[in-house]
Amino acid sequence: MDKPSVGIVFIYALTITLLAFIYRSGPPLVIVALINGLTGFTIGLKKHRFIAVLFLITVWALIINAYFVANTGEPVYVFGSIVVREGMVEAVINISGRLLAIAGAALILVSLYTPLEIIKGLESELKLPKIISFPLAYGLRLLPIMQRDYNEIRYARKQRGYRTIPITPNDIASYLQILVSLAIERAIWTGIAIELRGFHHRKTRYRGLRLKKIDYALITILIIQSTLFLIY
Amino acid sequence: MVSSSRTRIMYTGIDYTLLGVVAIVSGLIFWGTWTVYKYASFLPFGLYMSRLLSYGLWFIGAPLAASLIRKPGSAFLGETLGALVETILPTAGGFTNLIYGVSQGAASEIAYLLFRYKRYDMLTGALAGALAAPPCIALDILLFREIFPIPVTMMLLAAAAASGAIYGAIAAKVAQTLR
Repeated sequence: MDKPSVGIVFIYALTITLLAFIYRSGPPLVIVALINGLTGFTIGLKKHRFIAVLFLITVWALIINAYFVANTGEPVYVFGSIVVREGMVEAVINISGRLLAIAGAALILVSLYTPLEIIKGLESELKLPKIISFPLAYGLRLLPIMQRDYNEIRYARKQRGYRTIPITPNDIASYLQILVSLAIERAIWTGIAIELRGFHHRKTRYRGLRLKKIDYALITILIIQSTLFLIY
Repeated sequence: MVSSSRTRIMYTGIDYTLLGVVAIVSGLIFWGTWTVYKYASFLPFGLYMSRLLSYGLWFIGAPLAASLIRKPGSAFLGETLGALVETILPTAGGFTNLIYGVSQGAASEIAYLLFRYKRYDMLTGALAGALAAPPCIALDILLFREIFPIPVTMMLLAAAAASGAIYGAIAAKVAQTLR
């Protein structure tokens, strides 16, 4: 199946995030959370399990917090000495719904495209300025190199009998200092190289948004979600 | 803010690539800070401890970029780009990271503007970090409705500002060493 344009998915995810804050409670928030949360986690769970774990920890912390702060109103459930009241249930549904919508919308974008595709798409379709797109694209290309450097530092530490998992500030510093100074050294030489190749004379080619059928479908879904407040 | 025509004159290829390094380093720090924040919430005085231990790490992009690049707009760009990396990596915060990044970056930029872009030492780094706290706490209230009594909110602001100042000074020191 055809993928939607990066620009449209970016606008979609950004609008859903804003909608999650505009619909503070009630059925519209639940609907938006379910649509985007389920879609996002279905597409992206395999690739981004960390988000699911983080989401579950957040919900757990939220339940504890709501029990102490918002446990007011009529009792809903009673588990021995623990009484769950309306206020707590409402707070947990509203805040976890908002988080589900936000995380789901972001997962839809990042699961459909690689970070580099996102940057390229945003530059050519939404005219993202060069000062944002170039450093991001460069930084993302640097990631695998930094990963290789990290493995080398780990190996060197292992050979010298030091901890390979950084725990103390000294451990962290011994990793970071080398990683960052190497990255900066590379950045300086890359900067010189791109200047010598006439970087400042390069003109960005903007393709503009070319909407496909799937883009129109996504826009329609977005419009429906944006007008939910009219129904409820 | 830096206009595009001025940017073309001011920012060289090296600045662009250094911004890339700052974006990726701060983006990774921001990404990891979520775990610090979540676990710190379970500590005694979790509400304050989570802010004190983690918020400064979320403000680190601006002082790091400004102290390395030393040009107008670099603090704003460092924080915003870090937040954009954090968004596309991604984290549970999704696009809210970007909203926070833009506002915190703009607030941190004021620190360097106050010194007319002439001082990039640990003091300005600390100030840049601390100045990011008010918009961050304001967004917590506006977006996540983290509304507490005024004394508690002031304590949270103080914890976030102190955290920002400490990590901001560290970021400036690290950048000075690297330069």
